[in-house]
Amino acid sequence: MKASIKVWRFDPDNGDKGNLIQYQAPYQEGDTVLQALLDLYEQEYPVCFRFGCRFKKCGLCAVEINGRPRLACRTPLKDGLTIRPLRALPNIRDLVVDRDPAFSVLLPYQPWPAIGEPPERLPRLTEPVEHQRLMACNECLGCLSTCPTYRHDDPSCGGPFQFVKLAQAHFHPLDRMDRPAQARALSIERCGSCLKCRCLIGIPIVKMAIQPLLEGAHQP
Amino acid sequence: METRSYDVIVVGAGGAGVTAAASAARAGARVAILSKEPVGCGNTRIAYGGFAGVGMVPEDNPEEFFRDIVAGGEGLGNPQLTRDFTKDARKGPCVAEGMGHIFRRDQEGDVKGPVIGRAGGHRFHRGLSSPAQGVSLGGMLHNAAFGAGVEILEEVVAFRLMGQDRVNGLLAYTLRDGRVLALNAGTVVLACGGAGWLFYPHTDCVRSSTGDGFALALEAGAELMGMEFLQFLPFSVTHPPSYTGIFLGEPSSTGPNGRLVNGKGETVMTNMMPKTRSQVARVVALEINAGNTTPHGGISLDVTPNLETPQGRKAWESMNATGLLDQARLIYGERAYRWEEPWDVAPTAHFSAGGVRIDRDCRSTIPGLYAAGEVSGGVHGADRLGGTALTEVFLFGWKSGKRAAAEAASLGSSQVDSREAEEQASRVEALFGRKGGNRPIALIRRLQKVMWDKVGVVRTDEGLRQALQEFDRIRDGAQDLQVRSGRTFNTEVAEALELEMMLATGRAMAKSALERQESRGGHVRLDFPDRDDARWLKNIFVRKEGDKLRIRAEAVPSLEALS
Ligand SMILES: Cc1cc2nc3c(=O)[nH]c(=O)nc-3n(C[C@H](O)[C@H](O)[C@H](O)COP(=O)(O)OP(=O)(O)OC[C@H]3O[C@@H](n4cnc5c(N)ncnc54)[C@H](O)[C@@H]3O)c2cc1C
Repeated sequence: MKASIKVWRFDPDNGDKGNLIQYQAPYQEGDTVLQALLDLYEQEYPVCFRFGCRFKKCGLCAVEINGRPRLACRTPLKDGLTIRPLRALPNIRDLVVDRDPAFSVLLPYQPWPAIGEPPERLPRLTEPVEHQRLMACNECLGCLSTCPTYRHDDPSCGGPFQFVKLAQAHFHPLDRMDRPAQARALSIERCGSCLKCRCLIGIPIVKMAIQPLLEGAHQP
Repeated sequence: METRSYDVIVVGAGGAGVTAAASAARAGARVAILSKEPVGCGNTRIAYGGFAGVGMVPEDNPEEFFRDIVAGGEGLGNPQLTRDFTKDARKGPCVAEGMGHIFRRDQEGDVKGPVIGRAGGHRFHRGLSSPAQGVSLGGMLHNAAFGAGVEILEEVVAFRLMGQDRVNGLLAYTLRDGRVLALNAGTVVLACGGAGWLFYPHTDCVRSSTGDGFALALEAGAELMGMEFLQFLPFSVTHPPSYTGIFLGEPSSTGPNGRLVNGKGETVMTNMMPKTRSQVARVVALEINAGNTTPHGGISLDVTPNLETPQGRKAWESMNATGLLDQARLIYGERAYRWEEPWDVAPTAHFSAGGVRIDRDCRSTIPGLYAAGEVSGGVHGADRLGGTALTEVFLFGWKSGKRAAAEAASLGSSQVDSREAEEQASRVEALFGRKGGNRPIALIRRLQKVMWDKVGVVRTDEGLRQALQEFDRIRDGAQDLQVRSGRTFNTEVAEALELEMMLATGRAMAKSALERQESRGGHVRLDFPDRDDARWLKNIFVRKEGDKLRIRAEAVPSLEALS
């Protein structure tokens, strides 16, 4: 059996602008989109895409499928799918995007605890449930494609991924920085009336990242 | 060619690599960290996130832990490394928390009591767990790499270590723009992880685990040990093909009443929880090898009897609470998840127990070259107990970075040989747009097939020799590559470089497996089915001399002899 799918091809080395190409991917019961891409790659079309673990943990295979960001490894293959790169980030080649801007905008804010000598023993502490949930972020960056206003080329404009990262730090029991203030510097106010962002693996971004940072923003 | 200089270069950015880079930078070194994927991936990110500590219940102590590892590794670990590991195991999790990780706590905020688990082969509860599993380690490592003040080179493939009598740098290929970089370094730390991907699709490991570190070390003249010991987990997904090999569990995940049933309906194993991974994987593999399979080519792990006992139901609850049933639920469905129907299972390549031979300071046998994490060998032996890999990764990662920084500080500047660098670069250059007959991916798939069929869970003299012959044919095929042109993200050039390294690693594994004429731990020989302590309480070492691999076996040293 075959599934007919369209895949975005873009070869910057050819001065090409990119276009959708139709392929007949081999299809077996239970196949994922990632499997189809692997099959195509092996057969004859060296289409470029990232992947790592085949089961939703590495976060590398996020692409847009029929206009929505999805993990290719967790999306069933079907006839008629259109597969494109994440629109929120610059396209490098085929389905591969430049991930750097999503991280570099965060660097000035150092959203991590300082690294010291390891403690002698594990301290008594309570990990907020928000931290537990937020640390499940696999950094697939798919959420950025659900944000109507994120711009990768504007250093004053964060998106859901950046707010998740700041909130991870905010809820780390040993963190001491004013994360809500940093979120303001990344224009989190604009989220107040929107809340359209979605996480591909179900982390409640609004409830656990955006709202706490926004509410923190009103504190003195 | 672009050349850059550092004190320490760390190859690999999973747990061992980022930890090594952070500790080297803390010690004042100028550090670069290289990774084939974005930082913080590797098998560390996809791990379950369990760490083995020690002394968390009153009866336990480093001596007891040492005994368990020796029993689990069937006597083949290096006793000195195992001793160092068990003595300091308590600190491994501390290194991870020092970098920002948080382990599961009880109500009072302590790591004790019911939050401590126990994997197969451990006689005491030692397992710390991570609420968001390895994914949280990955995110933490990504942050830590940024926070450590090191230069990050992502999506590059290190393909050659440089230097004559000591390693003084390396060459790397950049996926982003198809260049070769020459990187000078006082010392290099290999933290490239294992070789699980050599068995794709029969592996639960990530795509980057192509065993490059073993090949890099061999080529530089360093010695490897225990390469015949690849740990297969007993339980992975058999279907659909998209998920073949994905992790389902280890012996402790079978519940007290789980049983293995072969394709003929015969019960072939019960009471698996206390057993080691190899003990169970062997039974599964031998049944499959004998053709007693389910229609999907696996055998049946019947977890359903657990629902009939209170202990069994409790086992389900604790597995469910820590996310160990996610895979079963998402791939096999609700009933499988609830243990209302048996699981179809087959072994999967999980962990390289052998690797680069290191001393107590993580130094390889070649000056200037260190190794830490899964790429190193010696702590475990013929098999590995659950949770010990991650503890080792953080413990030895931290130590290797410190030692590598200290050595680099004592050296003058290093410079790779520019002629050799140019030669290598033009070899890579010649790959772009080459119009031969074989695509790298096709040869890689051939290699993976022969690895699984002949160097996999069950091995024979004949099969291993056939594998070596097939490696020769694949190597010949690689003389005639077809590679696309184009600089940007040319994955085929990367694969051509990986293929060379996979061949070298596969060969070291097959040769070591051929040498060991017994069955022990993860190494099962149909023609030598028994463990043979009289002849084989030995480590097998492999090293490259000229174009040949030299194999030698040496008795496992006794602790007394070492101290
Ligand atoms: C599904 C699964 C679950 C597991 N669960 C557990 C667990 O709960 N507890 C436990 O103790 N162990 C577990 N393990 C084992 C453990 O996760 C690994 O042994 C450990 O994470 C290895 O860490 P590492 O840093 O040595 O290598 P990795 O984390 O695999 O990192 C390797 C790094 O090297 C890079 N690299 C490789 N080759 C090159 C090259 N040529 N050039 C540049 N970079 C290169 C990669 O890109 C990557 O960054 C599990 C393993 C798997 C597969």
